[in-house]
This record gives sequence, structure tokens and C-alpha cells, in this order.
Amino acid sequence: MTGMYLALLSRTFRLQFQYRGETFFRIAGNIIRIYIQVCIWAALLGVSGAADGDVTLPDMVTYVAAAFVLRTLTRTTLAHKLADRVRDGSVAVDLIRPVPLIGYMFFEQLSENLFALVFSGLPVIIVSCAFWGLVLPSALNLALFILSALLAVLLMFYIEYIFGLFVFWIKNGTHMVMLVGGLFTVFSGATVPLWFYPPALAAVCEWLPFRLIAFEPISVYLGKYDAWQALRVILLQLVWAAVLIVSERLVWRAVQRRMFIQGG
Amino acid sequence: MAIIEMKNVCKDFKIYKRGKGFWGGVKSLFARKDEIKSAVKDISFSIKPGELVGYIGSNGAGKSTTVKMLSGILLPTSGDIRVNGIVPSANRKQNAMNIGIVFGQRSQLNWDLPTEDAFELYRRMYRVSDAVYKRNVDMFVELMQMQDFLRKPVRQLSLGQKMRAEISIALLHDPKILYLDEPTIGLDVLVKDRIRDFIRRLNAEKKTTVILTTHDMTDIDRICDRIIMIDQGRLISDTTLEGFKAGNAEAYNVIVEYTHAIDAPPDPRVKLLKTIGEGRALFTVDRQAMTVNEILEYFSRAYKITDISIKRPEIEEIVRNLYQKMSPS
Repeated sequence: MTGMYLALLSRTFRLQFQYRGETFFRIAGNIIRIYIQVCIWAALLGVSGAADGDVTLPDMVTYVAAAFVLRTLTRTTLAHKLADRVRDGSVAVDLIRPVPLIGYMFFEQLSENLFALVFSGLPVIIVSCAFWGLVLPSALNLALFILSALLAVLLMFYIEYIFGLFVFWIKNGTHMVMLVGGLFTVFSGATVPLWFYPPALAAVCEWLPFRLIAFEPISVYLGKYDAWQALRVILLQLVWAAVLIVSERLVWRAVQRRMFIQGG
Repeated sequence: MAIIEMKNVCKDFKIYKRGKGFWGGVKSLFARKDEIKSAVKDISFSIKPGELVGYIGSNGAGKSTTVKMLSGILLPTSGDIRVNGIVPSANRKQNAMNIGIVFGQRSQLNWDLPTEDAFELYRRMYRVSDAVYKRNVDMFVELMQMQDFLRKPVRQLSLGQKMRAEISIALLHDPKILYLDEPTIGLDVLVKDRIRDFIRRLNAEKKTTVILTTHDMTDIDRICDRIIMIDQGRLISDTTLEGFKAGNAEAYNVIVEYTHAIDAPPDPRVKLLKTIGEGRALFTVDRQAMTVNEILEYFSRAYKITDISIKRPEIEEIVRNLYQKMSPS
């Protein structure tokens, strides 16, 4: 089985190389986007006179860069792909394979993301480092960040996949994809750190898994937490992962019960 | 010992009805009326290993639904299905290792990568051993003449080349059963021939059981030994190919070439279908009503014959007649 996943990885990389022209545009676009965010934060922190005390501009630059890395890793089009395949009936082909659909789709997405990280993420990070200087974490924080980033990938994929499965009922996934995107933007803290959220909204975020996909891993990286708090983040991620894995099983079982493959 | 066993299998779909017009549509947002549509009704058959079965029926007869139930991706509403001794829907992954499927209208290939890459991926997916993989790829590439396009990205392939690749992929893991769902749709005559020969060859060498659904009756004629016919979800007939032809061909087609007609009394059992140019005509004669001797006798009295052919109708025609009789769809 690992053989298959490796073959899938190498296949995805070869496929991505076919679109290498696009990679340059992606790098340029991302650098511009980070530049804009850095400018906004510089202006905002300038106005407020760094009222929030311990949040500095290098912190925010690093936050933006780390959020970008996490975004690259957790980006998914799973719901979209699933919706397309259900709508045109090609999910039938996926279901006759001897491998679980979820494993196949996760790994394909992960391969794409790893490719994006290496070939368009790394250059962006190097440029950011050169121009703005990033906060470098301690070895312990880096290790904890990597662990929680991996868990963040798992959480994001599961959330998107579970929402994607609902297309078996609603037959059209466009708005499902928009919903997940919207929830992520508001509750993850990927664009604006939760430090700046009004207390009521921050409290809502506490109860949702989205912050564990962006805000919390970044905070770990920045050293905002001590080791115990960081471990608490990871533990919480594990709990959410368990909840999502169980939910996926339940939804998948329901899908199978009323499986209805359209077309043909 | 049967490899495929269907016992009293039924499949109902629930279809939500939308009201007519705008208000009907709005109403159905809140209160949906559903309607049960039976796609497959009480079908039973059993297929022995190595059989070549044509599964035919008009559009919407329930063919694909049956194949999907056999492959485990649809659950039957009632009835019992065993494929190679296991229940497909309950053991989908195990079942997947025993079967190969080709959907004529769906692809297992990636648009941007060459066929070779897909082979490699499926080899890992089905854990095909190196020896089996090499033997099969060599055999498929040779028999279906794929050397020229194995390394080209799929988007550059013709439909015929793609279909050959699809069939090869479905067979990489030596499945015991091969389901072909309209494999020759849209292909030219030469490619159709190559695929048909290949399937017979495969069956002869590996004893692969084949279930073929198609609308091309030449496929059936050239590949299958047995025909199962369904209509509106019901099993209509299940016979050998020969039995099917003999049992359902109720008329002879008689083509007569003649120099001139002799004034003989017309026979009600002989019907003129059309005259083909000068001195040539096509008749149809009820098989039950006249023997071949009587037919010859009649025509030699009625015409000064230069040539005559008496033929049973081709399978295509038999099926057309059956479809017309069954359902006006």
C-alpha cells in the first residue's frame, strides 16, 4: 500500500512539473500578497503605537509568513473534487478501487501541497527572510510547530472532506466549498490573529476547530506559548482529529446506505 | 460452481419530484414528493467461470444498475448477490481485487500523463507482482498494438487508443471477472475488431469471465456465447447466442434477383418489403408458416430467378424487432 502512495506522490510531482510555468506566477503573486499584508500590519501597528505590548512588527511579519506556509500545506480542493466526481458520476470509478477513497484523495492532495511548499513556498519564505527578517524559533518550538502543522493538515483535510461528502445529498458542491472557505477565514485567525478579535468572537473561535489549523500552530512557532501550553494545543488537535475521524466514518456509512451514483 | 449468482435482485431508486413551474418548484423546497422507481425487478441468473455473457437491453433497461450492484457500488434493495463467493457491497475492496471494470464513458486515466504512468499506479494499487505485471503489460501492448502511444500524454490519444489503454488497466491484476460497459462506443471498425479479438483471446488464455453491455450487436455476435436480455428492469430472456438467434428470428429474409416475374397467384405468407433497383426484391417470410423448400418452390413459380438468398435476420435486426415490440421508449 505504501508503494501505491509513493507512486501517487511521484505521479503528482510529475504532473505539477507540467504546469511549471504557473509556478513563477504563483511565487510572484504570493510575494505581493505577503508584501501587502506586511504593509497593512506596519501601518496598523504604527497607528496603535504597538498598544498590544508584546506584538511587534517582526512578530506580525513572521505571523504572515507562517500563515502562508500553513495555508500552502492545508490548502485543499477535496470538497470541490468530490462534488465534481459525484455530479458527473465518475465517483463510480473511484469506488471500484481496492483502496479507500479518502486515503487516495488525501494523499493526492498532500502530494500537491508538498510540491507547492517546495517549489513555490520555499522561494517565498527565502525572499521574506531577506527583505523583512523573520523571527526564528527555538528548536523545541520548531519541533512542536512541525508536529502541530501536520495535525493541522489532517484536521483541514477531514473538515473539507466531511463537508464534501454532503454532496451525496445536495448534489452540488459549490456553496459547500464557499461555506468551508468562509468559516475558515473567519474562525481560523489566518489573516488576522485572534489576539485582535473582540472577546465574543474569540470565545466562539475557542469552540471551533479552525483556530487549530492556523492561529494556534503559528502561536507555537512564535513562542507565545510555553511548552505545556503548546502540548495542550497538540492535545486539543488530537481530540478534534478523533472527533472528525469518527464523524467521517458515520457520514461515510450514511453515504453508503443511500448511495446513488448519478449518470450512466 | 457459479462465479456470479444473482437471486431475486431488485433495486429501487427514490426520485424526488419537482413541481411544475415556479410555484411548484418553491413548494417542493418545503414538501417533497417522492416516487419510487424500480430500476431492476426480480432478476436472477447465474454465470459460470469463463463464460462470455452479453447483457443487453434498451437505454434505461437497468444494465448499468446491475453492473454497479455486481461491482459493489450500489446496494440492492432486496435479493442476494454473490460474486466469486462474496457479497460485493459488503466486501467492496476484496471484490475489487477480483474484478476489472471498463466504463466506456468514464476514464481511469489522467489527462496529462502517459498511459505508462497509469499502469505504474494501478500496479501498486492492486499490488501486482513484478512477474505478473511484466507478463500482462507485454501481452496487452502486443495484442492491442499500444507500443506507439504508451509514452504519450493521454490528452494526445485518440478515442480508440484510450479505450485500449482503459481495458489494459482494468486487466493488469488478472481479475477473474471483467465487466465491460459499452466498451466500443464511438470507435472505428478496426479498433472495434481489435478489441473484440483481444477479449476472446483473453478469455481463451486466462478463462476470464466477461460480462458485456453494449448497443452494438456485432460486439455480442463476435464476443459472446450467451445473451441475457432485460427490459424495464425485468429479465426477458437468457439463452445461448445460437438459441437467441434461432428462437427470436421469426422470419427469413429472402432476396431474389430475376429477369422477369411470372404471373403466379400471390401467397399471403410472402410479404414484399421493397424492390431494390431493377429486377431485385427483398421479401420476408414467416418461418413457422413455410419451409425452405416451400419458399424455393414459390419463388421459382413466381419469378424467373437468376439468384436467390434465404437468410435469417442478423442479430441487430432481431434485437431491433424485440425492442420495438417491448417498450415504446
